[in-house]
Amino acid sequence: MFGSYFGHYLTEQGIITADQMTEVMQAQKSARVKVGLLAVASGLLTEQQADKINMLQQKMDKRFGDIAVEQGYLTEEQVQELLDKQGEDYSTFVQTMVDKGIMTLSELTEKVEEFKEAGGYSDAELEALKSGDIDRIVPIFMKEPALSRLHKEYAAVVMRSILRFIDTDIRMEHIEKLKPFQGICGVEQKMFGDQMLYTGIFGDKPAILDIASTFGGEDFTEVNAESLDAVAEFLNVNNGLYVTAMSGEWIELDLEPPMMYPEQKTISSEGIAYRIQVYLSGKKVNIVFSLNTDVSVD
Amino acid sequence: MAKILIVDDSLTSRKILKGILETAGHEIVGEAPDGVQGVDLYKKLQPDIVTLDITMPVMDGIGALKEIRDVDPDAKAIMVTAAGQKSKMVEAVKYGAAEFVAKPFDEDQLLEVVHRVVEG
Repeated sequence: MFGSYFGHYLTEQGIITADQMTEVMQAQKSARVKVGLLAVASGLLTEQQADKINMLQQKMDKRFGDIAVEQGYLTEEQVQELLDKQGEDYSTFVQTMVDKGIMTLSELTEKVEEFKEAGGYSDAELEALKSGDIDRIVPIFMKEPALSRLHKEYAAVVMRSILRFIDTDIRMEHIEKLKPFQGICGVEQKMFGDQMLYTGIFGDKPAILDIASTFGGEDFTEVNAESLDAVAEFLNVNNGLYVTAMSGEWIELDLEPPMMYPEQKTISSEGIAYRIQVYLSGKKVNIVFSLNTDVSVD
Repeated sequence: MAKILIVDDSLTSRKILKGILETAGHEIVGEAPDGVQGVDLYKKLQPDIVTLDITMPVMDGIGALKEIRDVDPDAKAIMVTAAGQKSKMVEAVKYGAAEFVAKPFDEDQLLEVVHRVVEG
């Protein structure tokens, strides 16, 4: 994920081309071995154990390593060893850039410093970005003072779901209060119960089709009822994970059926709602959510 | 092998369920996108098992379960849910749900649940 941020900076500065960025990100995606595979290959887990963890991971918003420890299959030390073997996001990105002859190590080191300055990142935030750990990265972009714990938790769940189900090349912008904007198409789902939550995913066609194709398991080329249904189902599953997490904290929520919007709409709110712009392999979607405030889609 | 009716408002979800169940040799006798159509189809088709998504428009899975069990007290229903909504699960058990499966579907777990319900 570090590559998504740093690579975007390098592209914006004209230091590398968009094609080079795509090439590096694709190489990094294919080189990155999943922790589960590493564990089986290292003989620490059987395939059955890895399958069971994968199955549990589908139902709960937790990382592979955390579930493996909870199940008593691995110790925390073993998980850390596997993560070390998997390689820090930063190291694999740098390695790929150097291997492809795009930049030298010293050029990269220099540019990382410039990237840190330009983004206003602290040392700790830069380290979090380098780690690629989504749980350390999301808080960097959640600095709106009025955000509640439920807002922050929702943003964390949705980013983890995108990473798990849709794309590993993701970059989120800083969260912002929702101002009216045009969404080309999208889906929404409300939750009610102890709290009322509005959630929506709106974006341009390419990003919406990417989510639909990846989550729906087929190659969608048009935004229509079928492709939006797959995006709605992704939102539904994500919200299900959030409801489950909240239920563990004694907050009971129910899901309403999702709504789909195949045409351009203006998304706005009279109260305080939030928007996070997320780039999936460079394609933008808007994640919109609010707590006890309705959002209009007209 | 069982004759199964799938009731789910998500086309994506219905396609995935259908794919897994048909590959395992079960017969999908019908599909419905909401509880009202699901109840009608149940009465017409008399399947061995009905899968009911809990969150649906028009009539949700719990409402459909109640109506189906009113007309067929032996109906075998597997409730499908995207969330561990405790109150909904308690309600579904009260109205006679046989089992639960969670989205996104895990193939092995789903087939095991269907097997248990068929045997049960």
